[in-house]
Amino acid sequence: MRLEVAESIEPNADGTEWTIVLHEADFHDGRPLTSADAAYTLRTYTDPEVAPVISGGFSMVDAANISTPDARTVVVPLTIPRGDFLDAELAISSFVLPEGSIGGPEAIGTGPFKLDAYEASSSIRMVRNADYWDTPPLLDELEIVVVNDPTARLNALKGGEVEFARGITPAAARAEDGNDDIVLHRGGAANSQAMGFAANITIPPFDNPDAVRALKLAIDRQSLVDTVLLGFGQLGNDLVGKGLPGYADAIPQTERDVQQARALFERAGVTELTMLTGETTAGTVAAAELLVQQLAEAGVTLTLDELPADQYYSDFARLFSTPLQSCWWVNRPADVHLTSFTGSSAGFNLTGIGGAEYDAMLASAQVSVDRDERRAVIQQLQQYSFDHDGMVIWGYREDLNASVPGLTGVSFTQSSPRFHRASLEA
Amino acid sequence: MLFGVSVLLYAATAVLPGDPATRMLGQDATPENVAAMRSQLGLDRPVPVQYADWLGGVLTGDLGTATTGRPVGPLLRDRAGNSLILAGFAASLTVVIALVVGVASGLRAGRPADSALSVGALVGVSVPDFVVAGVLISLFAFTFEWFPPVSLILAGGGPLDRPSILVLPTVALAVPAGAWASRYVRAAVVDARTAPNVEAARLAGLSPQRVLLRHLLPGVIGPTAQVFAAATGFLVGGSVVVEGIFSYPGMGSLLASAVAVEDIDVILATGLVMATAVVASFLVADLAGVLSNPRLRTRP
Repeated sequence: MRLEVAESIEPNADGTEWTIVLHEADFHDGRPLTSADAAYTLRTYTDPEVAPVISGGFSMVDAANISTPDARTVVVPLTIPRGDFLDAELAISSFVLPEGSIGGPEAIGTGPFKLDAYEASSSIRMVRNADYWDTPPLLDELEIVVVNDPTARLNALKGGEVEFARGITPAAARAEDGNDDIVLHRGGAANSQAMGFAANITIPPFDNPDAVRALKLAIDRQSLVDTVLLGFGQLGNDLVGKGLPGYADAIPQTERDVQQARALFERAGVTELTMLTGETTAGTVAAAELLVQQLAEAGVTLTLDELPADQYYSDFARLFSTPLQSCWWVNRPADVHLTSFTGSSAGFNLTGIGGAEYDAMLASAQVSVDRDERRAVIQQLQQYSFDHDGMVIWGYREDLNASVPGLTGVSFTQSSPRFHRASLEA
Repeated sequence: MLFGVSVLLYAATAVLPGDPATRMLGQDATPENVAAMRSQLGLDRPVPVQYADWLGGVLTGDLGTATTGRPVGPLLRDRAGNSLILAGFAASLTVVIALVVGVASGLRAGRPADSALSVGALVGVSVPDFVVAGVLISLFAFTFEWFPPVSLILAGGGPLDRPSILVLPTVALAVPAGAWASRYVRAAVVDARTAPNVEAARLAGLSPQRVLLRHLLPGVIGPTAQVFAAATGFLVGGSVVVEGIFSYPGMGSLLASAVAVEDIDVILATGLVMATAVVASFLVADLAGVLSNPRLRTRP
């Protein structure tokens, strides 16, 4: 965890109160950043009217009682203990708004680049913030242009119109392999999407652990990575969070065993399956089609029920009542993923994993303020999930970005490129 | 007419599959979040009420709010200006292509040159916009490196700051539209060649150029004005594809990206402006048809 404009973010002993101390920094208009701005920001985040999406994650913040003991310190009381408030919520949204603003085209912040010009959905120009509180950036200017089509993005890079293209396809990455004018930046597991199949363990046939085990053994994960991701991916082991802190590396890799899969499917009486799928992210349907072949080799006929991508998430009841479906997750640290998307009270739990034992572990992972203790619980949670959950993560689709060779120093965090220390040789 | 278009547009967006609120929220779409978002977007009201509300706004100059929270009006104004510039060049080139090809093949009707031009025009019509654009990019952007492969406009700038970005999209739009219109120009030329006034002019010994410019072409413009209006429809439709391929920030690419994320107010406003453009071009065509035909100019 790397903090930015916050100097420290620490919980009290039981995780019910968090104290944020800010660096001395100025907003882009020269006014100093104060604890009042941070308190205003957190109150804004908890308001469902202003922030319908973010407010869900900040619902436990006791907004009325946020206090500012001095100009650089904010004390944030929570209505329930949360040892993971920093990791699970602040790590995802914590941009500080100047008091009284709600962002928009005239937005200012405290970051390394200042907004200079803005055309909605089209282009943004940022200029260097020489007064940045940390080391100032190297680039004088940053032009960001929206190019929706991945082919056009790559064309823009190859044609010298841009120096960095965020998001190119695996096919393009392969085609440009050997082109010295283009440098490919692979995101690795840390900047990726976890690609999977979700078997709901509360619905037949996957309420039978043999069927879940058989599914996991029947899948050739390497072949999916090689075929669907054209090799621009990492092997999955049915857990989200690879390459990120807290991931259970010690759990041995699941290998394909068709014989055993066949035997287990037979024992569970499974000969036919239907899977819900849709191209909600690139490669989902291709993976589903390959799964049809792989399951056939284990004696099971899989039928695909393909939905248009824009309808996939329109019917929640269907998603939560289907025995088997394609799925993908933004790759986040294991604890963040598990506490957000698994357990009896999670809003988007596709496999139905939960129950008293699991929920208790989840709760202690959320509550505990002791990092080591939490880490141990998170390992247990992953082992439990590996043993009992119907989630299959077959691979991680790495973010693929491309740049000209002269651009160096771009770093990546949670799939976003950062140009703070980037520089460009002519 | 535009009122009818607006009803159709609204009905079409109302039956679009999927729910914009769910779509915007993605994996954060818990039932509570969706309900909050739907109420914020006004989607929890009956469709006719939403339509009346929207139409009232449009008539008073309020085109609604994009899902990004910004008003649609200013967004559309910039994009419409960019599209108008591109469409202006494309329409001019369309007319040039249609007239040159149509007249050249019409005057040589039945001869090998006519057949060759006809086949060429047929290919131009049949090949989809995106293929034309792809060929243009690979040839003129990457092989010869004459023009940029994408038409990006930086913040604060306009398309005329760097006219070279307009070349490939203009050609990509004008080739199919021009090829299509040239078929009608050719037919009109074939008809006009045997018209009495043209015959008379030729028999009077006027030079071929003079016959063409003074007697033949005026007879062609009336019947083909409608065709050029329809070609404008071609351009408006083609711009959705071509602007996307070149990432040109016009209305076509705005519409394409709005449809992709179901940004209803943007879809409606863009659709309405594009429909208005097509209707207006037919009006102009009717007017041109009347003005170029002396028989229609005088009262009976």
